[in-house]
Amino acid sequence: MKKHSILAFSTIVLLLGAITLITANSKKVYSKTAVNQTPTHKIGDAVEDFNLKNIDGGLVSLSGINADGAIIIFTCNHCPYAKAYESRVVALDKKYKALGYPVVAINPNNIGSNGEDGPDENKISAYEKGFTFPYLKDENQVVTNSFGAKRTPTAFVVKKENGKYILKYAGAIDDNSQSAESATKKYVEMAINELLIGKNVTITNTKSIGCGIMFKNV
Amino acid sequence: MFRLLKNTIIVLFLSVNSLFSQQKAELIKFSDLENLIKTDKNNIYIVNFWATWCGPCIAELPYYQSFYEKNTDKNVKLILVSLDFTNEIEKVNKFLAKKSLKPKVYIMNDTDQNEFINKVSEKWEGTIPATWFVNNKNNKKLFIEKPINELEINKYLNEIF
Repeated sequence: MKKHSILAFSTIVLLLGAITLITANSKKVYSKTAVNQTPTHKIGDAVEDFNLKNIDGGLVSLSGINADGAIIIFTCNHCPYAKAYESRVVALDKKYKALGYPVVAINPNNIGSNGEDGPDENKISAYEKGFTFPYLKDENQVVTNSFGAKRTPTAFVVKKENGKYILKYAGAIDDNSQSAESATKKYVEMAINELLIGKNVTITNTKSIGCGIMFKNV
Repeated sequence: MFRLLKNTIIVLFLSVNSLFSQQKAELIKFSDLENLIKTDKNNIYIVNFWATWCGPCIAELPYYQSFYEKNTDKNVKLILVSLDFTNEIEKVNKFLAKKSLKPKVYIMNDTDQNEFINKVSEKWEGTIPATWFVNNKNNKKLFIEKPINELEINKYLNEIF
């Protein structure tokens, strides 16, 4: 009798163990698939901190900026749509850095696929256009993937809440790529202006044409 | 006299021919593009969004050129809509001449991208090349946001028949 109950008990323990293992394994498989499907930060999500190399060789992290928030802009040197926004990005930094939302620019393109997006070209762009903000290189494209950026230029506005950077806006800088003067809806400015007075952002996502980010062949 | 006439005909033929091959891009508002497609109930439309600065788009153009040449007599209209800035029209025209592109080329003259992107398809994120297949007879539509080849153009076209 005692022998039987020990046997039954061990069987149950073994079964439970097996179930736990199977569940753990299937979970693992699931999360792996999710990673492959490129997780994209959604509005309201905390974005992961990053630590990327700036044009001056130093590393820049979101937490290291130590501001109320940030305007993260994926941009590059060769794309006409990105280039059309360069002076507008400089103006954004000028206006909003003092208000707690500095610009952080990131070049996401795989250097191997376009000669215009290497570190030297980043330095030249930054110098010629008078960038007043970090211009980082996302060498292994992990940050680009975590934001789900697909094109340049694309803007992300984050706000620090309880030590985390929460995504508040994702999309176009404004509604007129070709002409800054003709832009009527300045989405990034509208979002930050609302955040500055403690309001929720009204337009949280917009779409725009841009140059497809050149990803490394995995 | 006969020789002169013959030469004149040849010259005329050549100039007319070069006029046709030297297609000039036209500007178009999205609403006009939409009307053009919607009001034509007899044809199926394939609208490819591209730009001279877009490498994968340029790589795809020969497939559209070839498709166009094989389907001119069918009820399929192919339109190439460039997303180059409107002030780059000369650059686009030079490109068309260099590549001898035959399908009709427009340059999008609409700045509110967030609006027209969603009107083409809610699925369109904004990347090009992108291609829109529209069949007005049965209201079937298809939107593809990736480079495609000639086989795929035909495959997607079959899907909306």
